[in-house]
Amino acid sequence: MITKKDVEYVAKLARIGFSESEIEQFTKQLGAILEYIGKLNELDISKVEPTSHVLPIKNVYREDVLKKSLPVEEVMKIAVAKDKNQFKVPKVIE
Amino acid sequence: MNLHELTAHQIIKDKVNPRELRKALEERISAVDKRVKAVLRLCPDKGEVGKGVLSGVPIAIKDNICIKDHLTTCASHILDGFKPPYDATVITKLRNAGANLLCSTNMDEFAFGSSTENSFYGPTHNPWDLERVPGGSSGGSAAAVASDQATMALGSDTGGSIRQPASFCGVVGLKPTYGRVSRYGLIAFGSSLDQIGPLTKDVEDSALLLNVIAGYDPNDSTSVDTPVPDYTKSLIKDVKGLKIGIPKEYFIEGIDKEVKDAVWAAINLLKKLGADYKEISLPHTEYAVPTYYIVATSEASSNLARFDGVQYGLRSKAAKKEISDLIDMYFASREAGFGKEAKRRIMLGTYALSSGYYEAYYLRALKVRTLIKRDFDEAFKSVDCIITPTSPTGAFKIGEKTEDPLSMYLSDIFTISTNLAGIPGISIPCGFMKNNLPVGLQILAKPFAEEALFKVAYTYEQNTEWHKQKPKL
Amino acid sequence: MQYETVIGLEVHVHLKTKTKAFCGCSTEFGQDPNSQTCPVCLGLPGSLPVLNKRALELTIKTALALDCKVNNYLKFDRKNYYYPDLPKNYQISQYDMPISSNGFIILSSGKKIKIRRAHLEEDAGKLIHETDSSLVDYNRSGMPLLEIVSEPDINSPDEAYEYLTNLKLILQYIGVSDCDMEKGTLRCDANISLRKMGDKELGVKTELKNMNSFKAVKEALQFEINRQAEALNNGERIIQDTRLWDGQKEITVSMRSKEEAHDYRYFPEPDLVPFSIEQNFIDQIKKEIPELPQARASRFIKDLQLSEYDANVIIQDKALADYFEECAKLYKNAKNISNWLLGAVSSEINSRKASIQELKLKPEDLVGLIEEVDKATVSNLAAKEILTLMIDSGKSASAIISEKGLAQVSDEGELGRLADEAIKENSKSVEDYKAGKENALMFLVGQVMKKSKGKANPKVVGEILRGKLK
Repeated sequence: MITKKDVEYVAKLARIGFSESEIEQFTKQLGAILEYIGKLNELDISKVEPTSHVLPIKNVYREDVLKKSLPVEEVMKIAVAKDKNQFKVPKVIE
Repeated sequence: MNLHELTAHQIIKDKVNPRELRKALEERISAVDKRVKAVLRLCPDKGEVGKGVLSGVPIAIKDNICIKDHLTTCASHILDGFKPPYDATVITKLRNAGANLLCSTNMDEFAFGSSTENSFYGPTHNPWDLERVPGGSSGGSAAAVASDQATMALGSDTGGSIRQPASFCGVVGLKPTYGRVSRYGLIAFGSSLDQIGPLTKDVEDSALLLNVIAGYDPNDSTSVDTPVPDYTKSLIKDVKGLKIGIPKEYFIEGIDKEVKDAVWAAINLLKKLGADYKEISLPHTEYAVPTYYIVATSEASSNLARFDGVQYGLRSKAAKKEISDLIDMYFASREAGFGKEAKRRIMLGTYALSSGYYEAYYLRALKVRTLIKRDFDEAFKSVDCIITPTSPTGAFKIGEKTEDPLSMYLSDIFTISTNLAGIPGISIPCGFMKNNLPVGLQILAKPFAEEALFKVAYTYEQNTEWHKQKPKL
Repeated sequence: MQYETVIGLEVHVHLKTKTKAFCGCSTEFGQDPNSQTCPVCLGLPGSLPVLNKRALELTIKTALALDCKVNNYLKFDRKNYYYPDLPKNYQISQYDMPISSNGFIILSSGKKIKIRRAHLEEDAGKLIHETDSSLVDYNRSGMPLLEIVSEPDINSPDEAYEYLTNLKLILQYIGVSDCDMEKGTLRCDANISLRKMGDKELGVKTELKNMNSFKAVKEALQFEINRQAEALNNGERIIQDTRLWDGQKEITVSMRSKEEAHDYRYFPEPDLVPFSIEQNFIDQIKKEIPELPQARASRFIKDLQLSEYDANVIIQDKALADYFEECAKLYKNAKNISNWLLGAVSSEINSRKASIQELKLKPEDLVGLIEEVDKATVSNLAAKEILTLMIDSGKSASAIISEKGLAQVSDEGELGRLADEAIKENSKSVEDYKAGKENALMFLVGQVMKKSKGKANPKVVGEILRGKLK
């Protein structure tokens, strides 16, 4: 059973701010969804390989050949905040 | 016939003037979109007419496909102001084919939903009944095509997001085989499930559009390097000897009787035209939805981690606490930028991947995915295609399921397995319910057997009139 | 209390590819901020990675050089964590199926330090901290990084230092990385714990970061040994944490802000397909691997009769060892070449702050100079001056000798005349010599050398003087 504490921990991992009441609502909703997902425990999967790629393709790579980068003006056009052609963020406190 | 009502193949055949066409569609949008709310924004019309197989054909683009220097937001507040500095591969292909990029269409935020209600810009309305949802998440694209606001449209399908709205809006929606169409430039939801596909007025247009967008892309490691056939060559009215599988797990309680009847009528028509059908079993069908909600949300939780206010999009200034450092900025931006359903899915996915739960949820889901895929492999040993309803019901009312996420998730029950197995599927109109809502027929085939889908869909379509019906707006 | 130190090292090196790990942007250093970026390495929505084949080859090459097992099936995983220099807020890395595992490095004591794994991942961008904000440059984002993790087999800071030195040398020999800590192309973190002598179980470890030289690694480890030992002796418990080395104050400081547990939520990267590594692919790469430093040293000792010391010094610099081999092809007495390389040539290298390749000194010219000394055309002393002139001008030894008239004079008539003058002018020394003081003769030889302006062959002068004073 997922607890409020679990939800708070996950919110922290996911970097999403929540109000107290939202945490409570999410605990309930996620609890219901997880209970439904618990259905998967009915199956014996001990001898089953996982499928992370649905198609049997492998060994896809590119040669080490230079491609044009974006012009720096194009890059900086998307920036929320910038300074000296760099993305500006609130100070990182280490 | 009005210009905005034409299909792409009619436009091409009649050599319709592209300038007049664009104008007609813009006028149509001004006339009806106040009510439908399918269009988020027009693409600038540069007045040029590109050459190619789709020369001048106006096409609507779901708001999660990157168009260079054009606002692309996934209908999310968190992508406020984001104009990608590059084109998605499908957009490049459309430009090269001479298509006219018409507009961006509404969607559930980040494609999280089955009703297009989870949009930061508000819900889209079903053109057949404005009180109802158009389906989702590509509801804007489906509604735009159904209401003749776009000749054709691109959507994306992670668990049914093209087929289910196509079914609700009475248009043709195709989810190609995973790897058939490049995902480069499609803002990812569930990377191992997502595919871009066409939403069109008829099957012929679907084949035309797939011809343009399909193919290997060296920028997408998961796109497959197999030749692209000319799909219009599969537009043949012939199903003699075709073996159809009817999965018994898809015709159980909860399915609307009118939907069931319409689908059976379609099966019987195909039989009359020379096809054979038999009951088959896809025994793990009931596990598809829970499997999907683990796989898709886990991938989504990671895919959406990049929306944090550092580079682009929304950086929250209005927060409870003052943003003195970066960590606060993350929390505040993501709190303000994501809607409820997005948060719910990010939370579920984060939980499923978190320490101690990986094996119980994510790994287990990947294993069940193997079983679901095997069901299809097994089935396609004895049948050429599988026919099911696209959705258990017709379009539901706006607001009907928003408070109950689980019942919303279950509306994708017939489309989700397809994505888990990576196979192609198409939804075509197969009738109307008493309340005049369209019903969709879903046809599924083996990986890379889109030609089989087109053949069956075309034969059915050419022997019926459903696709010619128009909503009254 | 006696403690045993247990150290494991985690080394990250930049692979020398032209382009980044998952996109075609350049890996060149020192370019303008964000000028080498694209949707992929900026982590823009919709972008997708495609693996650089060369990065995979270099990783396998390294694995082979470290005697690792190259795993024939590999995949990439996402490591999820938030940091502004990490544009997707996940790093493409490898979790449970790294490219290679189970290698080792041998120390001079003969001890084997096992390598647990080596895997390929992408680097993050660079953060520059200003007074009230931070700036992000993504040029480094997506550069291919090789992570090499040792087993906790290292028991002292000295062993750690030697492990790192040997590792770096191997990586430089096989040409996969510059291994330049100043440029950040090699970074090293250390895990260290203490346990009571004889204990089987490992103690609580701390992770040390921010060491920017091998010397700093050694110092940080030594500091940490003392700190942990003192704590244990006081009956305190060691707290598992990450500590930064402060090179100024020479202490390690806990990173308390990182209180959050590491929960990286690894899962298979859905945007990259798996790779199966065929044997012939591995064999191809194997062919690219040159003789490794330790094998080379052994060969120098065995085949070229170098001393163990000389051999080990020469191989420390691959270019110098290559140069040495070039010379040895032209000249028999390898020991003599090594003396010149480690002596006069090395001083030139040091004083000019250049590498052997950058000096204008062709192997055949150095050998030419050595042969002039052998032929006694010039003295050893004069040869060193000639070497300087050769490097200045790029000319051969013989050219400089004839240009400047530096050839030794061995002509007995000429030298006899100068010897007579010296005997005449230094009667005291002559007497001393006759009285049996051998040193006095050396003085007289010196006088003759002076008169000849250094060109006299001292051996010949000695013989002439001895003859005259009999």
